Amino acid sequence: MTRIIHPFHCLWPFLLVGFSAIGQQQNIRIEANFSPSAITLSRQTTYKVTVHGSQQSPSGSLPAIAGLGISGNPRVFRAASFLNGVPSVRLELSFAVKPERHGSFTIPSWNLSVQGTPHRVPAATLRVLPPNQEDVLRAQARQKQESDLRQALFLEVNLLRKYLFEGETTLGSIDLYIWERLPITRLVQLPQKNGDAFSQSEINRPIEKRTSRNGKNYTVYSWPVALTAAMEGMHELFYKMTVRVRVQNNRNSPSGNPFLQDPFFRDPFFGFGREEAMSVTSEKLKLEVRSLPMEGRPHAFRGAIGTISTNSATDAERVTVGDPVRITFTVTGKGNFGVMPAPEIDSSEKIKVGPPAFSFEGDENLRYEGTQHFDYVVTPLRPGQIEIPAVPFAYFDPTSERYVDASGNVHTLRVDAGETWVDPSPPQSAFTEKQQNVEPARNLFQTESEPSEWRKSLTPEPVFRSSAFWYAQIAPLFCFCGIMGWRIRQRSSSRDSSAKRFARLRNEMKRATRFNDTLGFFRATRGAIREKVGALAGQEKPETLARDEVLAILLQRKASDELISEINEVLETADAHEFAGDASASLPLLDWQVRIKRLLKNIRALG
Amino acid sequence: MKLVRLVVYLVSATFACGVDGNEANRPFYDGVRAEASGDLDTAIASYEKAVAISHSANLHGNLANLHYKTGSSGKAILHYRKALLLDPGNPELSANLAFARKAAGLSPATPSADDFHFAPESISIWVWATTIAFWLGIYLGLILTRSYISGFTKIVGVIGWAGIVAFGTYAIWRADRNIDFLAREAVAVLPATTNEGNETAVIRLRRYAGGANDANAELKPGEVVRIDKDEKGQLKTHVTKDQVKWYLARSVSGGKKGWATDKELQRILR
Repeated sequence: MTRIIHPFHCLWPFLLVGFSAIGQQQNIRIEANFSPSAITLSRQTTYKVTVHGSQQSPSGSLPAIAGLGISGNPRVFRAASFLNGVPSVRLELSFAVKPERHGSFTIPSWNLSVQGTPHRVPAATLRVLPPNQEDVLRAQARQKQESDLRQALFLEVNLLRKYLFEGETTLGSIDLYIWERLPITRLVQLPQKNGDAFSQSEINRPIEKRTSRNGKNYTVYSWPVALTAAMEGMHELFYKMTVRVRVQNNRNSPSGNPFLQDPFFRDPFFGFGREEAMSVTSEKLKLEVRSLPMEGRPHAFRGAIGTISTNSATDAERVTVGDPVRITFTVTGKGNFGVMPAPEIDSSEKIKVGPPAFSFEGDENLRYEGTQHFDYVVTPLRPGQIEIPAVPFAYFDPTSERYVDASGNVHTLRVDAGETWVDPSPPQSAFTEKQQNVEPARNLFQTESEPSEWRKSLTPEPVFRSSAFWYAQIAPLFCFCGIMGWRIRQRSSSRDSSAKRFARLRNEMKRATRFNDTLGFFRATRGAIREKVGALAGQEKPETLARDEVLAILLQRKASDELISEINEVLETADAHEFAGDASASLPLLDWQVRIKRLLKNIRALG
Repeated sequence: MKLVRLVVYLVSATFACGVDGNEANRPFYDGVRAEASGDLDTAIASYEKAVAISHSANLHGNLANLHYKTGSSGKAILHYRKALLLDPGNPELSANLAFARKAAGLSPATPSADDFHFAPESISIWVWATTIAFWLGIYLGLILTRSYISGFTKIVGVIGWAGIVAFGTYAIWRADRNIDFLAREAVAVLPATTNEGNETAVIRLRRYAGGANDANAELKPGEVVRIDKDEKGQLKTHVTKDQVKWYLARSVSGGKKGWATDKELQRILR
């Protein structure tokens, strides 16, 4: 069984606290019935559930019955009374019921929760009888009323043409007919177009007129509109709008006849009823949009469609080089002026053509009938007899369904060279003299027809006032810092390795002294001297220094002659032991060690 | 992050400039058309509309031409100056300015180094040249400290580099000073209420900011003055009760000094 949930507790916002308290003390009893319990098929009835002894919102689900349309939004009615001094409260829920067929329908017993306690709603039966004579008459009256209503307020779309070509603009009107007895208070919404295949002009204020049709007097609001077909094929077009009318009775009354609520059947004049919005829709027009023929399409055709004529004129026939000439190309007639592109004239070596200016004489909104001007500024660049080419223009005539070439005329322009101007001011300095020498002779006060580069401000902005400039300095600064850091580190590591090498050589000297190894002693001594002297000169590889180079560095460092000769002697002795095979000679290495230590100390003092 | 911000700034600045230019195109072309048809007043109005949106050398040049043709030599000189700021190397604009000055009865301008080498628009060149010289010297120094060139050569190199950087710094300072001068420069223009075609008409520099007092000196239309600064470094102005703005100005040579209204003294950088 299909069940519909009715959240009753949401339906009544106010709680009568006093009666609720009373209700809580009473026994709860529930009744259910149809009122009336027998109806014909065309009528409606009410399914009423009465809860005695409580006014609190109940909750439950009403079973759905096939063949009965039961409203999901019941009316709630609360009542309280004193019967023989005893307080009594009740809650009524009324559901509108519309039968869909004749027969007998029973809503079975169902559960309703009141104050949190489940209660049974008794079953109720409805008898639906076949339509009687009265129902038939009522249906006939209803059809007539609907027909009358359509005659009272309707929307019509009138177009000049039965079919359109793609891109063609046609004129039409949207007419709203209002029967004079219909109490329209205002037009809420202007006619809205439904049909994506068409674009239209703006809908502005309507033209109001009075007319008579089928014996009825109407007020007609008419909106002229220019429609342009955008897509080929069969397309539907209709308009929709909303008006507000004055009606008298309550729309939501479940007991009221809905057809009696139609404004047509209400007293239109003297009532003080409420206003209600009413939507009006025009009949759907089926319009064919044909594509433009490809055959015979001129090169100059750029989409102009209509019945038009053209003309072109210049404002001067003789000018000097650089003086702008205006060419006006005029298109007059009926057509798609709203979407008509401007024809183009190409610049050449002899002329420069600026972008055209547009102006339209006629209804600026519809842009269907009138005169369109295209103004071009042509600047002659060379003297002589110049021909300004014809403005290329072609259009499609939808009446004769053929293309027409309507290009403008070729204009001949005599262009003079102009007067040459020489600076009258005498040269003021060597600089200006130089400037004048290189300055070409030009025409004074020549108008430029093209704007040069646009600048937002005249003020020269120093680049160093922008943060971008200082950000740009970060890169070379970082690079510089990096190189410096790398060098310092390299130098430091070089120093460290020099100290290590010197320490190693000193240890070798000590060991050679202990083992009386003369060759090893002098080899280490020579290395230690080279290391110290090399450190003085910043040599990265001091072990490669020759004896002469060592002495030259010492001399450069202004070492004493005594020190130089002693170093020379030590190095000669070392060379003798190393290369002359004098290794067998026994020397007092301990004395030599003391002497070498003193010499090395003296060398270090030179730094 | 900063780099991204910089790129966004540059792109948006470029876009903004483009938008301004496009908006100003229409009134510019309107002006050209109006001028072509001989309607000079409409042409001036159209150009003025474009000037309110953006600036271009040709726009100011055309406007200056029209002002000259309509007899407003002061405004013509003003707009030639503006046009030359945007296109300094344009000989035609320079020639027109010289001609307009002569027609206005002004002595020919004597160009100096401040007008060319240290001109306001040259500041960016000086800044970049000096910056490049600075960093080039630093890096060359890093390389050459370990080279075997003589100490004398090194010293000469350092002195030469320092001299170049010092001169560049001086040039930047001087160009920046000229920008400051330019920001204070104004051209004497006859107000619209007077007969601008009258050759004898002059602009009075008053003793005090107010209409009815004696003139200290007089300016010819087109004459250039500099507006004084106040103690805060702003232009020295005074607004009277009738909401007229006055500038305290003096001629470039300093020989003339006095108050004039903002209608009479039109600043070049506005």
